[in-house]
Amino acid sequence: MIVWLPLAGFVLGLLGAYLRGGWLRRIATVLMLLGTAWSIVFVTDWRLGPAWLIGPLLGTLLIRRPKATSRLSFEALTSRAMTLAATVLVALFAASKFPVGENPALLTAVPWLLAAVGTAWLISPLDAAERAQALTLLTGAGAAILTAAAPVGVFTAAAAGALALIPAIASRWTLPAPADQAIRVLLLVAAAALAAVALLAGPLARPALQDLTFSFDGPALLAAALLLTAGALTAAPGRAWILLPGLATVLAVAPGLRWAALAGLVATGFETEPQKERVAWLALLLLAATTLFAALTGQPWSPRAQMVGLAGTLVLMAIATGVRRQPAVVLAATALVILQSTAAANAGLMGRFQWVAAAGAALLVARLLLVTDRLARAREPLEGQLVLGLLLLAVAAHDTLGLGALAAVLLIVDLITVPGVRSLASGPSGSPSRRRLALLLALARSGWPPTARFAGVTLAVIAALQTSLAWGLLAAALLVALKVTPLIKTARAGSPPAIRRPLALLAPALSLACGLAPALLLRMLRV
Amino acid sequence: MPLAVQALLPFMALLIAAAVVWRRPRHPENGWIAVGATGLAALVSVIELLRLAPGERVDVPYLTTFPYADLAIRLDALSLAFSAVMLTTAALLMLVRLRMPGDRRDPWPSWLLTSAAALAVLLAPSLLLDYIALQVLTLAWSGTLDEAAPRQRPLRLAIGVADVGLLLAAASAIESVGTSAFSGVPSDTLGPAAFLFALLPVLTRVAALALPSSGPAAPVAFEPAVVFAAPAGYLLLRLVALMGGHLPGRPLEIAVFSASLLLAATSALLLFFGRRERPPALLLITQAAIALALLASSAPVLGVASIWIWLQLILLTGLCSVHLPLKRPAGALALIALAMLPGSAAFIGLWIAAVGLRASGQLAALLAATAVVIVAAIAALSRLRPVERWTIDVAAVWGAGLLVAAAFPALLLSSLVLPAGQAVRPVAPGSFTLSLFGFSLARTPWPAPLATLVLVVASVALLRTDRLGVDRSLTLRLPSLPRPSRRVSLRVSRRWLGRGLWTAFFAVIALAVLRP
Repeated sequence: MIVWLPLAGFVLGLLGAYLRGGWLRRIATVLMLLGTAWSIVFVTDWRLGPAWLIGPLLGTLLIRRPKATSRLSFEALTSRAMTLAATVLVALFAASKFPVGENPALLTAVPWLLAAVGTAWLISPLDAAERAQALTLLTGAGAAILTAAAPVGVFTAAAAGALALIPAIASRWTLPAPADQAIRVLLLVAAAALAAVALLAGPLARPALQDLTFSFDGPALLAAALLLTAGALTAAPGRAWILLPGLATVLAVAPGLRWAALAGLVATGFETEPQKERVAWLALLLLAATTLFAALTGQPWSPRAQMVGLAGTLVLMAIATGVRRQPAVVLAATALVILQSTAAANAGLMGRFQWVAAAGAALLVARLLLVTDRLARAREPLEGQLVLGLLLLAVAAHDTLGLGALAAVLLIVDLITVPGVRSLASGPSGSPSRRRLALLLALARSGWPPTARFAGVTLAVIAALQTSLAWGLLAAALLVALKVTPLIKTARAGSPPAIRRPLALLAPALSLACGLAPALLLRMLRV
Repeated sequence: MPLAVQALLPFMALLIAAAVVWRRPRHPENGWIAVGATGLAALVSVIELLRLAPGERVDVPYLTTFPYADLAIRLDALSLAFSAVMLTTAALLMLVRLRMPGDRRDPWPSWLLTSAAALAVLLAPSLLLDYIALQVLTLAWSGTLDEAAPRQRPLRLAIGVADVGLLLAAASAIESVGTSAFSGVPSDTLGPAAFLFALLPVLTRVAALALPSSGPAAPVAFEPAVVFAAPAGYLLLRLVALMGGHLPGRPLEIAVFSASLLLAATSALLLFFGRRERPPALLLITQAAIALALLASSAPVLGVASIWIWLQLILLTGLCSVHLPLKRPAGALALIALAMLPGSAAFIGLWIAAVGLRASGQLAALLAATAVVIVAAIAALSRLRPVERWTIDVAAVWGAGLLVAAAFPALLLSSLVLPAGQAVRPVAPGSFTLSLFGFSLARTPWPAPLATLVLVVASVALLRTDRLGVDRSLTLRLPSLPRPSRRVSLRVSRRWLGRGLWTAFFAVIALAVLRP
């Protein structure tokens, strides 16, 4: 009988949250979280529930939502009810398919129901505060599901739960410009230090705080350096700090913690694009599912589903982010996570990954060809989609020489640097020295050697051909299409970009440096 | 001086000169600096070539920055011979441009950088580095950092797309033997498919010779010789050298020979029947196609013939890239060289090829090639016009220089062509007997000075008469295809197409999971 209590508490909270506003609603939300924590206590260890609860609870308390002054219309109420019903049904179905040991399904379903509520609020939020609440619940629920499926230690559970604070903090506070600038500089210094360690020192011992373990091998250090650089270059104003907890995406060992960190990045990367945000959360759902598939060791299709899930995650995330500036860090993190996750996969499983990646690359390009709206085309240029397609192929290449991973890293560098270069304002060039600098900037935003894009696409084709002839020809076809895209583009008007801030020079410098010496990156990847 | 520095000297000369002229635009001495630096680079290449022992090749490594494309310089007879000729042509083009009054544009930095990039193509030690150098070359000559810039966009993009073929060949070599370095790839690594892919950049650049470049107002076009002809010839010969001197498989040899000869015949016939105002382009393509056809045959001396034709073709392309009125001596000399008449530079290569084909019993090939050469010669001669003013300028001296090279080929054969030939396809020692009065091959002498003298006398006599300029009434017209009268519109909803795409994607996902 006692095992029903978490569900009962959750349902009570759910009703309160939907039927009441103001502080009553907040208490009801807390009740839902308590029900979830209680469920974790029953399913795993009594210490994990409270440890996980800290983050989502604080996040919920941080979000202030004024009491609604007007009642919802009948259509809005019906829509919210239908959305909730649909997501709850899906959650119950998923809970029945991913049982945790011998526990009753309705007990293990509670974290899934929390995710269903979060999803419902994200799909049709009443206001920005409810959206932030939804993101907190979703991040927390994902961490709870993964904690219950693959039990971890107290510190790991607490850290995973704490990452649910990110959306709440981001929605409430934005750092002032000087502090944000200081954090960006700090991120860049840290990135340089990590890259230097990866290049010179080799793999480091795994530091651990009790059960909370981090990996500091070469690829992880390089990935962390890339993420920090991406944060410094592409994060929205006042949001660069998010990359500090976001580092867990590539450094943490526990899959639940990695997922929660990535969810934190997604939660703050798509504020103005709700449709893209939903696709990104779909990708995250798939990524969580791959971790759950790993728990189902008895099933013969489990490893296959894991691989396909990882590939689907990457494809969906690429569709969600495109080559736009702010979500670039999300795609970079996802690609790096998947590169790490597939590093030890065998050729047979990678074949399945490649199927999905190839279909994804075709989908990326083909769906854009169907777009007739000029504005939409300008937002998602064909060139960018082709580069994303080559990124998919590079991640999937998995060749013995390691060129696929290197190409992926170079294309990620391009992804995080080129939007920064493109955003530089055009203006009069001024003195000859500034004109030369502007020429370098123009070179950095092109696809000529020695940019990171050129090196990335070149190595992607070579890596693809190492995998198979068909794979190589597909990559070559994408490269040919990339070379032809200028035919349908219009030349950039006006003078080359002018430089207003010293930090703005970093993006082109990084692109050119990585394009000049990709062998150094390969060395880091092989450590 | 250390070899690592020696190998860098031509690059240093070009790049330092480029930096100097870039820092002081429109300075009156910029042209002379450019000519001097390019000439110096050519001289260094010749000295390096002369210092190489027979069959010697040196890879000078510098940095390992790009995986499987180490920054290094390859010094062998083939690369140095092409470097010397390409840089000489570049220097001559700069000199011609310098002596032309009126044009106030300042092309020197661009030309110097283009020369350096072309030199990088010729001295690259691997297929992958060659691909990268070709991209740098395209950037250098087009000067379009923005790929969407309209300047020569279709040509630029066509070349960029064709270069992917070379990348595929490099990737294929890396996949097979773990490297694409010329010194590390066994001769049986590249198969027919990889060879044909790698041939794409060559063919595109040969086709580019037919296109007008640098705009109609440019009195001197730098690109055809330096950017198209030299890299095309070098890449082709390097590929054949990489494959042990012969194409992979007899069927491919026959196919390449036939296709090349067909291309040569087509361009010669187009000129013969057409009314083009600029005949040199078609004749250059004819010569390039003949050189390609000769290389397809596995007879040893045909490699030497092909190298000779390619090397003189670079110089000839350069000469034809100067605005040459046909009624001036330079224009007439260029057309005589293009006609491949006995006594001209191109004919030396043809004669070596004829002897080689006869010796190897390939009489059908010899007859076919002869027929094409005759058509091209007639087509070229029919364009000759009487020279009105016998003026001497740089271009005229250049054209005369080609005749001198044809009159005394022994020097060029011994120092440039035969060493380069050894790098492509070994020739039996003693095959060639060189002397001041010509050379002999398989006991068949070619009296080069006499032949050239006869050609010069006949040409002068012909150019002084007013019987030139036969008006042909026969004009070739290609049949025009009927155009569709109205567009057929597909009334398929884009939304449904989009849904279909997503459905297909999820079907692939399901298939990937469920397939055992």
